[in-house]
Amino acid sequence: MTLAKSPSNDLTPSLAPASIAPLLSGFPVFALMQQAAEYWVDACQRQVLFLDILCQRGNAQLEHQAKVAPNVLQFDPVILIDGRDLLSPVNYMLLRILPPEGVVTDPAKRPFIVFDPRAGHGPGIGGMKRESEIGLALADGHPVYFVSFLPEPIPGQTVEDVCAAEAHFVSKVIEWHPDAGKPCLIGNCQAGWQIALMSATNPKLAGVLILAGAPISYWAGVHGVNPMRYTGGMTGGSWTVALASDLGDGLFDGASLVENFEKANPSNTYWKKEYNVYSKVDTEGPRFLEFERWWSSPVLLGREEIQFIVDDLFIGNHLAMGKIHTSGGLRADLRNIKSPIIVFCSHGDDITPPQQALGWILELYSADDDIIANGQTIIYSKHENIGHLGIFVSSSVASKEHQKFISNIDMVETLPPGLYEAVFTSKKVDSMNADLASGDYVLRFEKRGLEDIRALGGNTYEDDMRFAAVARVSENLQGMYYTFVSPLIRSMVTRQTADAMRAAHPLRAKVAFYSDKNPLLKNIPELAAYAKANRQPVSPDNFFWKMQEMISDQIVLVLDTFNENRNKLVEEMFMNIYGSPLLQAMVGLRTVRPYAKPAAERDIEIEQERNRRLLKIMMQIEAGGLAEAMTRGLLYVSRAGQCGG
Amino acid sequence: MSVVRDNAVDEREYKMLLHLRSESSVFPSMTHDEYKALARQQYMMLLLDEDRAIRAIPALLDRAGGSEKQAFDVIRRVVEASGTPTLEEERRLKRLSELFNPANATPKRRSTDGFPTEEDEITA
Repeated sequence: MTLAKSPSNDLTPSLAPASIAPLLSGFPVFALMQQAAEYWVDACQRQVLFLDILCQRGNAQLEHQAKVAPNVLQFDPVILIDGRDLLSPVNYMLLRILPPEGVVTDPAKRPFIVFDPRAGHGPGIGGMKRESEIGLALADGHPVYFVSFLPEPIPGQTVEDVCAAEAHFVSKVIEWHPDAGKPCLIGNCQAGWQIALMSATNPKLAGVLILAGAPISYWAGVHGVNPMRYTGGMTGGSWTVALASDLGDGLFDGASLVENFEKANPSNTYWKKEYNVYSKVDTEGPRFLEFERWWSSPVLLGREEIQFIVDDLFIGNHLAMGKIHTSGGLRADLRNIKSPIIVFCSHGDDITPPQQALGWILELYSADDDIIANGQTIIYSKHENIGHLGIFVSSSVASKEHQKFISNIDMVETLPPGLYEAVFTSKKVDSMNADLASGDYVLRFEKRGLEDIRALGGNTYEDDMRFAAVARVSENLQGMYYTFVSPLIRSMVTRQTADAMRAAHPLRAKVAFYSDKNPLLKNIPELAAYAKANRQPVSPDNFFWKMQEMISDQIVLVLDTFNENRNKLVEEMFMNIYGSPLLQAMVGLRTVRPYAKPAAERDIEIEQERNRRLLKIMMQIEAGGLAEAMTRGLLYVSRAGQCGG
Repeated sequence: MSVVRDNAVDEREYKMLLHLRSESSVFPSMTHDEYKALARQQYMMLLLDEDRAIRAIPALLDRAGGSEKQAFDVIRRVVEASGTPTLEEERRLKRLSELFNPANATPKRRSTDGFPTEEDEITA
């Protein structure tokens, strides 16, 4: 290692003093040796530094997991309500985010409540960066609240209990800000469908709903692009989930969900993620560690919760079709929500493709006018390429899309009912009255119709029948499992065996292996400090380094090809198995009356009420005075071009 | 500017609404939330039946207490402050000016029974 101290030609001084090295480097073989030496020194140091980063991850993780309420928030939270104290206790809590130094929030400004997704990973993702939904709302002077959760559920807690707790939290926030507009609720990923479901049974609570990367129509997608929706079918339905909960002594391990995400992108999971750190070992550490602290800290879900999620949502698709009932018999229909709904999705999101984020609109409405008549304002925004997490973690998305939504919430509330697409135009392109718009972009809401959502592509009649077949197979197999196998499994499982199984999960074992717990890695921090002090990074045009990059690209290509082929195969199997006339007939789908996808319920009472409301609006056409006349007049002029004159 | 703006609502339109309220002394005072609800309702009326909604404006102005002309000037100022009006916007402004200030109207018979006359139908 002492050799590494010489400023340039590392291993070579004995062969060639620095002064003649440039002359000799004219000989190709010598130059190559020189490069090999340079590469070798760098690689040795790099390995040590890389191992050190992995160890830091392990140690941080073990520390993180030992906490009662771990989270990865970059902000200071104060616990206001602990959901464990509620009538139906849940492991959720309402936090107030304290504004950072120099930022003052105004209690009379509309509060924002950000809901943390609980889809296997731990809490805090929505506020992992300063430049985030939370940070921007605070900077804009809004009071910000955060709904987070503990790593372990209260025994027996249900999704309905969580909805009730969330409704309680929101109503409290309304109470605390009597002079402000109704709160804006932001639900990321899983939290998106959760707050949609909550609002469907508590329609008066929200001011505006922002659903970011939230899947609501789980069958939706297109052939060759969205393989994750076949997962339920390929495991024979949800009996596997019941089994996992049984083995976990009533708890479902979120690590399995994280594993699902990882398997969907093998080149990233098995190579790119770590190679990226290795290849940028001097700079990438902090970012990797920050992300890993969230990604590799899975939490637990209750048996009742996960069974509802998989049965009613993933496999049954009941939320989009308005078929979920509370235990008290209330039907959760997303059409009940009268506050504007902003759906933010991305074509680059392979976990919640736009079809799954928006499909529910097609399930619930059969004509554009129905949306207007129902009084619902739905705004969607489709990002071209950002990935799933980027929707709520990326700084660039935060500073553009979220910033614009947050600063225009009042405007969203004035929008008349209908379906709109939020379009962001750079001020440079659209410079007309640029000073009237804030930031670098002009935000506008363009009228859209159901046709625009249909154009995203979706299932054919035959596809829907396949998913319906999955749902029935799932029910049957789960019934068999629950009746004949589950009792046996449960009799063998204890909390101890369940804990041991969870600790052995590859996601946790891998993290714990690279940590201070492993005596083989004891010297790594020291070696890393030494390597850092004597660091000699390889030059980017080094022949061997370039070879390494090429090999890495090859590995990525191989893994991607494998993934593509596997996805094709899975899709083919899914289509064949669940499209089989025999199987469909056996589960009762091919009866004399042809299968019809369950449509959202219609209710004469509701429709009459709807018509009465429209009539009432039109009856008021001559009611009012100057304010009405001026507003109507201005809107009439500004609507020029919308009605063909 | 002769291009018709697209079929969209944008920030500027909303800012125009806000200006309407803040720029004029004639605009009745109300809270922000009341105004938002009012604007949404007016918007809804235009959406449901634009023509009827517009033809009802004189009836609303009967209760305006003589500030119709100022009111129209505010609308024009707000529209112009957000850019040169398009041709269609100009046409609509003209129609509004007739509704706000009947003296500007091209001579026409006003029906005595309150029902729209033939001309009214045509301007629609």
